[in-house]
Amino acid sequence: MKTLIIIPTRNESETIGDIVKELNEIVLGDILIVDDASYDNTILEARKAGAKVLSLRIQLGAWGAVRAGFRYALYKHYDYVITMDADGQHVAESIPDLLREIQSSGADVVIGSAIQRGQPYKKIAWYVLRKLARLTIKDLTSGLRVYNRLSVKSLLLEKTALLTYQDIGVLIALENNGYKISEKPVHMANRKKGQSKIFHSWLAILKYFIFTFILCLTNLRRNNR
Amino acid sequence: MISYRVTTFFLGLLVGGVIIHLLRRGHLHIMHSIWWFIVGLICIFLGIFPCIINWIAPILGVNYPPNIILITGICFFLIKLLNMDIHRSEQEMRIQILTERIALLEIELNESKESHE
Repeated sequence: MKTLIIIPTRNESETIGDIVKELNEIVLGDILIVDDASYDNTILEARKAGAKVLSLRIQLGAWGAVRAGFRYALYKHYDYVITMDADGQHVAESIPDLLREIQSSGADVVIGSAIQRGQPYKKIAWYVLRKLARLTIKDLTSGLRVYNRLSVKSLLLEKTALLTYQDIGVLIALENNGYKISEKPVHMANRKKGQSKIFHSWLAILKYFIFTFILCLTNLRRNNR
Repeated sequence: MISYRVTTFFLGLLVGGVIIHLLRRGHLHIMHSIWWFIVGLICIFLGIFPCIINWIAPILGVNYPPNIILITGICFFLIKLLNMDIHRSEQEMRIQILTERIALLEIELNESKESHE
C-alpha cells in the first residue's frame, strides 16, 4: 500500500521542518511538500528535513497546491493520499487511524474531523453552509483528509480547478460523483504559528461565506437538473 | 452655436476612428477585434446620422431619444464584461493546470538528473 502525504505550504519555514521530522517518525509513507510560491526558506527547510518538494512557479492557493500534489500521486501510482496543513494543527498520530478507517469502512474519502474547535460564529457558519450544501458531514473545513486513488482522479477534472479552498466545494464535487465520504474524530493541536488562512479576519469570513453561498447555489441547480 | 450634428459627427468619428486605428495596429486578437470593429462602425454611423435615434425612439415608446443609446450601450457592455470574466475564468483554469503540470515535470526532471549523477 503506497501512501503519499501532501502538505501545501506558503512561507512556513518556521514549522515545516519539525512537521516533516515528526511525520517521518510516525507515519510510513512518502511526504510531498507542495510549495505555493513561498518567498522564505520553506523549500530549503523541507528538503533538509527529508521531504520531496513540488514547487509551484505561480501562487495557486491551497487547493491548487493540493491538486498539484494529487497529480504527482496519480503519476507515481500511490494508493492513498493524505492531505494535511503545515501550521502544526494536524497531529501526525491521527494519520494511522484515518488510514485504517478508509481501508475498513469502504469510504473513498475520510475526513479527520474536530468539530469541537473554533469559535461559536464558526460553528454557526458551518451549520448554515451544511444546510445550504445539503451535506451531512460535520467538519466542512478540515484539511486533514485521506483520499483513495479513484477520488483523487475525479478531483483532477477541469471543473474542480477553480475551487480555491479544499472544503465544501470539494465535498460537493465528490458527493455529486457518487463518492462515499466518512468522518473520523481526531485531536487537533493549536497552531504553532500564524492564524487560519480562511478565517483570519471578518472581511475574509464574509468573502468566504459569499463564495461558498454562491458555490452551494450553483451546485443546487445542477443537482435539481 | 454649432449644430449638434457637427458635434456628434466629430465625436462618433473620433471614437470609431481610434478603435479602428488600434485594431489596425494589431493590439487585439482577431476574435476580440470583431466586437470592437462593429462598435467602431456603429459610433461612426450614429455620429453621422444621429437622427436615426430620433426615428427609432418613438417606435420603442421612449420619450427622450438619447436614453436609447445610453441603455443599449450599458446593456451591451454588461454582456461584454460578463463575457470577459467567463473568458478570464477559463484562462485562470488553464494557467492553474499548466502550473500543476510544470511543477510535476520539474520534479521529474530533477529526480532523473539526481539518479544519473
